[in-house]
Amino acid sequence: MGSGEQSAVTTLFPDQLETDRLRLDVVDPASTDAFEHYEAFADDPDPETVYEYVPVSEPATPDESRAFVENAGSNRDDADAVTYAIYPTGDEPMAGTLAGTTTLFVEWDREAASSAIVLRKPFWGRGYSGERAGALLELAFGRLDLAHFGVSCVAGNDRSKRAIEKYVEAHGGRYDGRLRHAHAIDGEPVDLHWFSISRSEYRAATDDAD
Amino acid sequence: MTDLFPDTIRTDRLRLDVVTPETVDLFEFYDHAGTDPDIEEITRYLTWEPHETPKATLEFVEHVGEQYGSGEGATYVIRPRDGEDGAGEFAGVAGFDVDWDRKTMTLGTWLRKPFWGRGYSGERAAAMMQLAFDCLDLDMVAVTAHVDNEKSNRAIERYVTAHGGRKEGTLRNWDTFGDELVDVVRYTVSSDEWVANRDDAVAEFDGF
Repeated sequence: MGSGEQSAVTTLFPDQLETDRLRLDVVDPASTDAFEHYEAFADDPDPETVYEYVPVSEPATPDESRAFVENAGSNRDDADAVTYAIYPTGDEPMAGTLAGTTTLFVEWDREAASSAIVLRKPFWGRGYSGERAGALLELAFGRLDLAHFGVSCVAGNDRSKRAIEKYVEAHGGRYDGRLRHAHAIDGEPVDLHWFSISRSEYRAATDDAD
Repeated sequence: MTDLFPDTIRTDRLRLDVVTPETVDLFEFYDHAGTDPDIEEITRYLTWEPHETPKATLEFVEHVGEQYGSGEGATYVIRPRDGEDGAGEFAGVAGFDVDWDRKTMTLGTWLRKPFWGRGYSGERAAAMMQLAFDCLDLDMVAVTAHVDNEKSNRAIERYVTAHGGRKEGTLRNWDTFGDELVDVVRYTVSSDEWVANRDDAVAEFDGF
């Protein structure tokens, strides 16, 4: 595929999303520098904390970053998921630095989406997760016309839970419950907190906000 | 013995026999899973459709036989024991899956209408919990039911509470039942809860 061409599938998911303070750039081999990903995420001073409750590990080599980027590209081609690199913009501290990555997963036959985020520690506490979620929700419910959004975090990840609670509530959704032993990470069972937003809840919440 | 799960389970009033291609009476099973006069009502809130032909039953039996052989789960025919009304008859089916990474057993069951209202579901669930926690060293037993299945939810809530467990919540758009996506309610009982609320009834397990 030459430059300037885009398949119909890749235009399902835009190349870029923008919020007040963030730029989300799609991750795929054509758009992303694997070395930038590697340099941002490798040798994290506090890897336990960044990745503690996320089933992703820091890239041990540039090749792992390359594999991450390729995988994101192939998921985008299959329309299964789209991954964005998150950059603060404007006057934000460390604007233009790769702050994290986020993925929107889509199950078309269920008309449902879910999301995940990995945010580096220097960028915590700024509300970036909620802001990025707003952009993904608009993509899911607005552009992609999906019916349902679900999201979870591992029990114990209080930071994540608080961030999710805030944006789910802001978008009309609800807490579904703590599901015990609903997942396993590195062979150990974990509990998940589940949240969901329906299309009608999203519309009611965002129409009111206009 | 190399099977992870028993081939027979006995409770106070029930006998459960594992379903595999070698052990099942295929046409008896088809009679009840396919052509039982109440099968539409029985399966209304279940994940499967009535078996349209004995071939569907055969495929089901082969599938659950494979699960049993690979230690992923097991399915049993439920029959009341001597002294019960309808002793020896095909009363229904009880099954479970085990996710070893999550150390969780998930239960499923259905009963023919003449056997409703006797507490068989709770008795069967107690036996499965004993198997999960006493024999298999699992952490958790989970059950889900279609949100509109009032009868099932009442029965599950009763036995889950009796064993110290909890209703976790309603999960929207969760499972595919036939062609539809449905909301389900999830319940769990943990190993510690079961031990703390252990009752005197003891199930017997054979053949593993």
